[in-house]
Amino acid sequence: MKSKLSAWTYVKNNKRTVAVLVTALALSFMAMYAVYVLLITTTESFETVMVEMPKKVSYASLGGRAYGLKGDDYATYEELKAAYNKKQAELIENLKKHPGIEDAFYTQIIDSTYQAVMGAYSFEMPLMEPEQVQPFLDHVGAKLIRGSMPKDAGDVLVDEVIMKNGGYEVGDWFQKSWYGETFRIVGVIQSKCMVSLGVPNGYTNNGFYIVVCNDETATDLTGILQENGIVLGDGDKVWDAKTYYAAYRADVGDTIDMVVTTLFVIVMTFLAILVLVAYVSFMRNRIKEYCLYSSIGYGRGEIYGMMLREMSILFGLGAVIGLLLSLGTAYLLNVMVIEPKGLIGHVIYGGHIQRILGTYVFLMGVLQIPVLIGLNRIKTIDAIED
Amino acid sequence: MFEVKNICMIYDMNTDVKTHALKGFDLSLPDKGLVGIIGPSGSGKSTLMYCLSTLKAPTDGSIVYNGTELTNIDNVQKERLRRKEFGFIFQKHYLVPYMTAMENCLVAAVQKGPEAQKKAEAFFRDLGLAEKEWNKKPAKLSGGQCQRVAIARAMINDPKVIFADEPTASLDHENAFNVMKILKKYSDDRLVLVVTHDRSILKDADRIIEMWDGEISR
Repeated sequence: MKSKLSAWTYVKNNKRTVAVLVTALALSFMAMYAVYVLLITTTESFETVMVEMPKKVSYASLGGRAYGLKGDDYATYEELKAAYNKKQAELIENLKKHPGIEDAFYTQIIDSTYQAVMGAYSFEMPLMEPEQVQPFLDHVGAKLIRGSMPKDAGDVLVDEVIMKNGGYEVGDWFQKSWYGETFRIVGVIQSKCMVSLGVPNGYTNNGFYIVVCNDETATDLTGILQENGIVLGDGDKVWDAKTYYAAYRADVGDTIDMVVTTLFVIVMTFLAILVLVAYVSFMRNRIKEYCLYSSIGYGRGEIYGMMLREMSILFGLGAVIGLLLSLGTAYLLNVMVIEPKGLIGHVIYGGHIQRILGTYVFLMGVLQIPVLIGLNRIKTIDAIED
Repeated sequence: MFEVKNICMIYDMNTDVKTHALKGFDLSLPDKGLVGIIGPSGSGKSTLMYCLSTLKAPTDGSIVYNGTELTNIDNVQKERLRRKEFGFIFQKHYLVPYMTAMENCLVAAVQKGPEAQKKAEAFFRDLGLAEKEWNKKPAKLSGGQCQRVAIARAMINDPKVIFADEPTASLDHENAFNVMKILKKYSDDRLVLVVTHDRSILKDADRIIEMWDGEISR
């Protein structure tokens, strides 16, 4: 067997020191991963509403100017309103004829709230007459899984995820803090796009929208409206795939990314300082050992090789144990926190695992500084004894 | 084995007060035998030993080892010599504190593996180190036991020369004479160079070199 300075001898004989270093690395891994899992669940959960929902339903709230109507051209408000209604009815008819659009109707909406670990998002929930409900459910691919279909004013069907998230039961008042005792949950529905709906019960101040039941080939409602001569102004609102995604990136994705990155950098900076200090002291304690190796004929390259192998073992063990702890923690978070709140999360986030492993490699790179300094301090025993 | 010509060693070369540790002398050492280098502190005996063993480079002069001029070879060649042909017993045993006695011995082995292990066991037995001590760390061994481990480490590659710097300094009389007995036996077919200021341990030496103020006095 070729002679080599063994890295395992140190690991085997210094279990306590190694355990402290490996534990620090593993716990840092786990902390970074657990924070990521908790924060990213906000992005993942909101993505269902803000990215998946517009593939099935889009909304538009347009003012008179969007239709080319000017108040000065009409003697009375009633005349203006009649002209507005006419233009709107024409637009809805045109939308219904557009390829990829199954239906379009003008209706009141209310807000449904989805509470994540970090922040909450309110999104549109259309109100419609009971006879419109089943076709709408068919369009979005939703099915009733508990309770009954809405029949009376104020009856609402709520997505099962929002039910969990809001802690609702069938028969509860929906969003009572906002709407009081106006909307009662009569059934629970299940769909991929987290749509909820209800029957109007008076005016709720959330406004009226054109609800467009589109498929994935007609998600650009902004473009479709412009094709129909609509000139969108500042007061007009269009919620389609593009505008939802822009809002999702601005309000959710970018914010979460920024928080995750900031926390990641803070944790990594502290870890780097900790590991650097620990490693300098670790090397200082062993300098005589390295001097002995040099005296009995081991070259600096061989000593450096042993240091690298030891470091790789420490970081490797830290990464493996950290990964196992992280996956266990992520599983527990999903089971105990994320899923019971109706949020969406996963156990394995490959990209983030790669990012943490990459940081470990970077840390090993940083540690080459004290290692190389230590290597230059290696003398032979005669120099120590002089 | 060693042919030394006009060896000079000056410390603090770049300062006004230079220290002449070796003042230019010639020396010839045989292939085998126990050679003692004796002298008071500061006489240059350790410096001579470190120059011969390539741990130090002399300021001037020539050291030829088995036909190789040691002052001309590079660090890699020096390391190879120290690794394969020289063995070292330092004044302090310099055992690695976290390693067992056996691991401390094997750390110097050029060829690791079961054969080296067997060889180390044989050395330990010859040196009178009980089997129960082999897996103990230096902190659990006495000074004499540590020095015996250091001797076994020096011998593990069957070196042609053993350099021993005050090998008995930390030992009581009985242990000191035991160590010298082992070194004497090893010197039957190899060269053992012992640096000491204790003349009594050199009673079996084949040759004693006395040093005084950087020169060989006898």
